[in-house]
Amino acid sequence: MSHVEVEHVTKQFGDVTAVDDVTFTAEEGEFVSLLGPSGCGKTTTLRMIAGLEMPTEGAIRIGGEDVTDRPAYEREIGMVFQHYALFPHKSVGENVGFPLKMRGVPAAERRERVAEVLERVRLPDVMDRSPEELSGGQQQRVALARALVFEPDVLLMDEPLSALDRVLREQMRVEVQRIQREFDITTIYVTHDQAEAFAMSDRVAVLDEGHLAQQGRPLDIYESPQTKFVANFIGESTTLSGTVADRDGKRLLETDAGVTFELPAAPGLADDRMTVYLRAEKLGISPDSSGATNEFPATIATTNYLGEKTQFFCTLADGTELVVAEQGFTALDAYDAGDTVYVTIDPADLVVARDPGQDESNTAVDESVA
Amino acid sequence: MSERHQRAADSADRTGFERYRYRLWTGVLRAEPVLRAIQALKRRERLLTAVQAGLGIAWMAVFLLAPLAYILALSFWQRGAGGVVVQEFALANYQSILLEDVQLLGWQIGNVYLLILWQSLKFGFLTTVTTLLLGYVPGYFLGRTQSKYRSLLLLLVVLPFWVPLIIRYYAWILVMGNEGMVTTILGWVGVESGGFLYTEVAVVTGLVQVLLPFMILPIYNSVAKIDDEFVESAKTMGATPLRAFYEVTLPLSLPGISAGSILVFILAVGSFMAPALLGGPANSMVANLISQTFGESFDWPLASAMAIVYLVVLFTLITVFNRFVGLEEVFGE
Ligand SMILES: Nc1ncnc2c1ncn2[C@@H]1O[C@H](COP(=O)(O)OP(=O)(O)OP(=O)(O)O)[C@@H](O)[C@H]1O
Ligand SMILES: [Mg+2]
Repeated sequence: MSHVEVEHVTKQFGDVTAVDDVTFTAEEGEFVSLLGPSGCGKTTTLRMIAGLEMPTEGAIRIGGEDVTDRPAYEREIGMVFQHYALFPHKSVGENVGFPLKMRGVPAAERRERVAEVLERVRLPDVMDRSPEELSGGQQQRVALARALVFEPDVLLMDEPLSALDRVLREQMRVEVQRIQREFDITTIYVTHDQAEAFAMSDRVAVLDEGHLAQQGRPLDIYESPQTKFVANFIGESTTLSGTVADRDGKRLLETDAGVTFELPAAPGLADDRMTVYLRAEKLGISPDSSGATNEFPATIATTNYLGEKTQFFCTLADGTELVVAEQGFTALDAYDAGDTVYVTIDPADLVVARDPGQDESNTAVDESVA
Repeated sequence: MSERHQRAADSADRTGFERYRYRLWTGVLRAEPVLRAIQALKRRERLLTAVQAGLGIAWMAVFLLAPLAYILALSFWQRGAGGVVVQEFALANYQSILLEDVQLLGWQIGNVYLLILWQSLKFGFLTTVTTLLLGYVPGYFLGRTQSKYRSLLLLLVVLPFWVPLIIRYYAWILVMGNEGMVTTILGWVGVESGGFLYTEVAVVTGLVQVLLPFMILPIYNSVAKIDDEFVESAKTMGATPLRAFYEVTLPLSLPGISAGSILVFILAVGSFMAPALLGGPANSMVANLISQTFGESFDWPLASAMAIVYLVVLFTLITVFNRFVGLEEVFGE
């Protein structure tokens, strides 16, 4: 039994289905991220766990107890809001002490516990200040302290770092993770930032338009995406679909884009429609053909030098777009727009999946051309 | 197919005439003189703003501050025979309204001015407390509701302003009078009363019904500004809805409460029509007394002194209130 269980939860707002039959779990002490693009239902899911929104269907269990019909104030939940929601009319100490006050903890003990938790989030000596006087990062810590001070069953966070600038965001990532480990608290964390989700989480649940697309360790999500959406949302990749054929004892995928791949010892029968996801950073690029397996020509449309990596936007013979990314690339001068290059991929790095459907791949091509 | 392509196809179908008209208009709008005129207007914008602000300030100076200065001067001058003003500096007016019993229209009941000033402040206070008690709930509701009828409800709050004040007070006479609605309804349940007109109750209830929007609107405004996240975070921390209201919403709506209270208090204390129409002779307020002194006794200097004392008292009260609540918070942002 998992500590937090979200089971077949659906939420409708009038005609809009914000969350559609979502099921996922978080183990005791685990850090689980809800990841997905804007509007996919992350916040709604989190709010249902918090009790701020009642599911239309489905059940939510925390610590084995069904809390589906309990209001927020009867669940033991610590929540950090996107803009922290620190009370401007209360001091930092009163803010952090608020959950204790609601639980009838006497003032003296309250002060002690507030001081202790502020120490643990490394923010001593701000007790009597107003939260508005603090910096973004400090407010973040106060919000965390306030959510943790009453030792709740679960910690929920909704894009808590999105209001910070980039450098601070990356520092706070580490800090939030440290605090979460130290308090050893089951955490569900909402973000639309893949790097953030991967860096912090034990497991990630990817949401796509209200559906759960996949839940798994970051490694699994990245290396074996189960849907086209996951493959495309996590990192940059190119999707090519085609038909499986057996030739000379090799299993080949003849894609509609005209490129043939040698598949690893993969499942799938001959004549099956299969799809490969080509991760941009797993593709190699070279001006000359080396005759290696899984090598195919492409034309450079644009190169994008980003410092730590360089992106090549290429087109295949039939016009399909392809992204190649090289780490620490310096030989920029050898590649110009319009050049023909040879792209390779190790068969082991091919992510192969069942073709999600002919229609879908067609629309995808249209979008990328438009 | 993308929308963009669709639109491109549409435009290809345009008639030749439409295309011609389009080109003509862009031609006109991009012509050098037109562009220059627009630029010039834009540059003048700051000048225009300055002129507008200056007009406002000038208006205040001419029509408010200047008369006030004149009244201040008047209050130190004396009334001569037949109501003429004698420009002779003396503190006699202040002495008479603050320290002496005044004889006015046959009243000889101690210091009438101070009594009436006290009564005005009392009416103002009663009106403020009553409007606050009656106005908080509608203001809160309007501020929190997601209903699509919110703007309609807000319109209903200000709708009474469309009816001239005097008509509303006359209507209130019909409600409170001897044969009025209240008496009739009370009669049905067996309570005999001779109507409430020309009493304190009539004046205060009349003021309350007229001034209620001035309490509701600022409260609505400050409640609407409270982010849902505050209330929700209080709930996740274990606060019941009632507790969350007391701990979060109420203190955060304090600016609206004080703005509304100050507005209603000032308007109520200075009211003229309510005591004149709904109150009896014993329910007169400062504005009535001053008006009588100006208009019936023709003692302009004395009336001016009354006005100045009234202003000073009101100003002092608001400053004290400010100390406790913080007016910057009320009118800031
Ligand atoms: N109270 C509401 N009433 C109506 N529709 C809502 C409500 N809350 C959310 N929705 C809709 O539900 C869908 C999911 O919203 P949600 O806020 O959960 O998305 P999200 O994944 O958190 O997005 P973001 O990254 O932009 O915060 C959206 O289409 C949104 O418009
Ligand atoms: Mg959201």
